[in-house]
Amino acid sequence: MTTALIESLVAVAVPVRRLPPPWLRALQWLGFAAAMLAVFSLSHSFRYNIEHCLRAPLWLAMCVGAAMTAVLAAVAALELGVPGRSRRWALLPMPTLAVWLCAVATRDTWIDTGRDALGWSGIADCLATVVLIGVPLGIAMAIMLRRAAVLQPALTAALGGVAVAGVVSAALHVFHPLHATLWILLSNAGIAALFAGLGVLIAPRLLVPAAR
Amino acid sequence: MSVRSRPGQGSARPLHEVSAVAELARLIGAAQAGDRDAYRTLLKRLVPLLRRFIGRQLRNPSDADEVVQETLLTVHTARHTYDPARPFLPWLIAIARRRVIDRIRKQQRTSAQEVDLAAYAETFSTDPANLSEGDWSPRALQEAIDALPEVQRQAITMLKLKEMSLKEASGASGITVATLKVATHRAIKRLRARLLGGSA
Repeated sequence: MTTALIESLVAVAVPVRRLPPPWLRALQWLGFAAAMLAVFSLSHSFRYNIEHCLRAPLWLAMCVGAAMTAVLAAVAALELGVPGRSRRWALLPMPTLAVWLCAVATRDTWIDTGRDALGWSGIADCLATVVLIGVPLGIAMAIMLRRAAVLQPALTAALGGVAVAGVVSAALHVFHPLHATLWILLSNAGIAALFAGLGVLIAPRLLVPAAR
Repeated sequence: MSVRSRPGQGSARPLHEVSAVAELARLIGAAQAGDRDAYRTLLKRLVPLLRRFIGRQLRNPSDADEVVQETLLTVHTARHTYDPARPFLPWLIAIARRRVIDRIRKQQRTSAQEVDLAAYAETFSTDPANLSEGDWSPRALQEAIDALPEVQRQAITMLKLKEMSLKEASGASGITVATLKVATHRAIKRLRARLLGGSA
């Protein structure tokens, strides 16, 4: 039985293109994310007070924390997509994730009703940003993980989701004037939870099958 | 090699084992390039390694053998992910461990849903049928069993005459557990109809 299986596998064995190293694949995904943001910036202007924000430590902590989390979570997810890599890779984005979410938690204004308050059109604009950037990046990440051999689907998919969420949140900070903590919380922790949750939902489809 | 061991990373490995592992890495590198002879040699050499590792995790030999095959299939699917610059055994063992975990989870799900057929031992509704042979002989019973359709005959023979478990019967016959349950139920109804004159 096993001998017959071996012969059948040998019969269909064709040369395969070796998977590039995870860091290189993470770079490819981040390059795609950068391209997405560049295209997005053609149709959306930066938030009106971007220069002021760049001098605000808390904004920088949130924005850079989200972006760095995206980078490290992408590396971790793609590392875990290769059999034999340590589960400890999952810890890689934790420090920046902590910085990102702690910066969010230090906000003290929950609802903003002044000039910076988000109207319905602002909320719709934010949601459009989430979908326009998050969906293609999520699909790209899922394709890259499918090309690998995922053995720990839930953990890997959650990390992939956090990577997507990091990019989306950084984009929201750059393109939308979010000031009230409620929106900032939603656009950071909420989006991280959303994309990580979506990742876990599709996780069973990522598990490397016995045969493809 | 146990589940928690870190094969390929030990420093006190005998030289012949080190060269054997290096040879496996060379073979999979050649297999990635399309060398079928190298691939065949690799898979054949993996079988005893996997049997040893998986056999320690799963007690049932037929389960272990199936998981060895599933691992070989996964190795085939995932062979493009192996990087020859890295140790081979952690890559292989990670795949095998995953398939063992999948099998254990599947067994747990199955056993949670499995119905013990012993509870249906007293299938006949009339007392004499359960307490004595009544007016039919063992030969009549054998003839009635022989007259059953193939799957039902196999099911009743394995589960009731040979007293095999559902899992063992399924493994021996290739018939699924669900089919065996249904076939046994129908076989008993047919036997009752034939031997006791009830309706099938």
